[in-house]
Amino acid sequence: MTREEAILLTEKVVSGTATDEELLQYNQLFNAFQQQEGWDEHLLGNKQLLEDAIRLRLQPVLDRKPKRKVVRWYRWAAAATVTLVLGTGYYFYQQQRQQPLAPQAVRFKNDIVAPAGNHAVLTLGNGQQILLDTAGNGTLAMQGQTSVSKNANGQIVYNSAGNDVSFNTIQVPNGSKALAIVLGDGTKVWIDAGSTLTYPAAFSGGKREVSATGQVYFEVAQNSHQPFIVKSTTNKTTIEVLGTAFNLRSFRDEEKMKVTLVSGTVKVNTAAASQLLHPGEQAATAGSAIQLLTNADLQQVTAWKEGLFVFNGADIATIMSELQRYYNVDVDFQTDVKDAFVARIPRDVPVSQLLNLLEMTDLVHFKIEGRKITVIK
Amino acid sequence: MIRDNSYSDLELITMLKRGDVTAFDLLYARHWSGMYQAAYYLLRDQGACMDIIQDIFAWLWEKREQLDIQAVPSYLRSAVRFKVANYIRSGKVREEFYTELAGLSLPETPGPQDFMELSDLKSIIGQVIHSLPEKCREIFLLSRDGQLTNQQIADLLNISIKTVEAQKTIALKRIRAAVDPHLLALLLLPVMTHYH
Repeated sequence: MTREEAILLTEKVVSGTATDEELLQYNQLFNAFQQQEGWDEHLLGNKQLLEDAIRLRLQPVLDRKPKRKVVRWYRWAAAATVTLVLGTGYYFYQQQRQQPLAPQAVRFKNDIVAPAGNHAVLTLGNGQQILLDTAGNGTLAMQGQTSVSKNANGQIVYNSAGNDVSFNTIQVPNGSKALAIVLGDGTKVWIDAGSTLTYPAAFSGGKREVSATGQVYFEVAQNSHQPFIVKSTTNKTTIEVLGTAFNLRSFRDEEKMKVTLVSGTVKVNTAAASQLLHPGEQAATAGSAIQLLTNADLQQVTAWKEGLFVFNGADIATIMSELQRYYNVDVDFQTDVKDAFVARIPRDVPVSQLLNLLEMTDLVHFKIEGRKITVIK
Repeated sequence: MIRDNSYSDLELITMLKRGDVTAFDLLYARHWSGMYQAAYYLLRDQGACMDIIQDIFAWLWEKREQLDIQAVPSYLRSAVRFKVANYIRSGKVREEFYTELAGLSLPETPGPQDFMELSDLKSIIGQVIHSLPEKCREIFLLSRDGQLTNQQIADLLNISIKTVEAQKTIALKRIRAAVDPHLLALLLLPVMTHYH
């Protein structure tokens, strides 16, 4: 390549008029000069001296922030005042803020893996308890003419020929995968970590009644002669169903109970109010009042059952309460974050991956110690 | 200065956005020498290479709040290439460079590495062009991609040939200004309204 060709080529690169071929040609030229060696002192000079010299030249640029300095001074003044009023709390808060954040490699060293199974316990009518994780596949128990079995997918299936009305309970503890179960009438139920379902081994009589706490998703088998009723143990609320799919969320540590309808119709009854839901609607009960949300985010509400975390503008408290249940961890808030977060990630990842996603916003950070996650600024 | 290699680049850039000087120093300490070497192998000029590294890191600090954190590592690499191209274009490069250039045998077919760098460079150039005012961009792209003459563009857009020339000059000036010395600053401001 001649001098003229080289100048013309770089002219085109710099002016943005180079074609792909010309850009490739320039890259090849650039790469042809490159050497794979480390720092050659004879050729390049003293590394430390150069590093310091360029860094020194950058110092005026780093110092050029007059506005920030004023703000910082006022912040310290404010800190001093508040320290006088509130004692040392604010001072320590400031101290904490000034400390540089430790690298993720340090803060996430004790990563917490996703639960490997559901550590669910099935309690039969006679009081016998079965650990579903360790139980083999096949028939687990017979209750009258009703069999309970575990299939190859880990799903619990009831086959009821008779009308044994003894109540069974499945408890899925924190730190568990969701459990799927098929009730005696063919109704499919998914039970999330930290949730419990109580139901008769076989349904008989004029209605099918079950009770639930925590987060449970129902696909109710249609039977207009035998309405399906879900009682929320936590919230003294009943849900009347006529063949439908819906999500119930009634955790003890959450203020509101939420029923979200995916298809069909349900009626939510509290002690004082009643609300009919159409698909896509969500009823939130606080005490005996019912609030109706007409365009619920179905994807976010039912993501847990699909094995996903989906947050479409969730606050940090909501996200952390999910993690607390699913990973069975304690959560400590050292900062108050008001922002809403958007994230979508499979549930079978270590907790650090989700935390990393949230940290990319730079609005919040975390550290993991033992089985505790601390929320920091 | 803390020499802590356990922070990832993305973490450091996130911290940099908050105005963290330690993060800046860690990024500088980690990347300056590779960038310096890349430039030096072509230019063999200590002063010019120090200027290039200084400009790029000064930009990084000044524009820290607008940084697209994902793109920064490839910006750092491409910025060196751009600045070296600009230095060669200016004609100030040492004579031996051309002697070495004449003796170089460039490979017939580019390797995967060349293509990866092409896409980095292209995205930077693309963003500069995208930031041009609409009319100016249209004329510029017609002359570049459409290979049309000034007269053909004037006829096509029903404007005078003088306007075409003026707009092309503006486009080239803008792109050159974007490359030197504030190349990356402009890249980060997608909507520029200097020309109406």
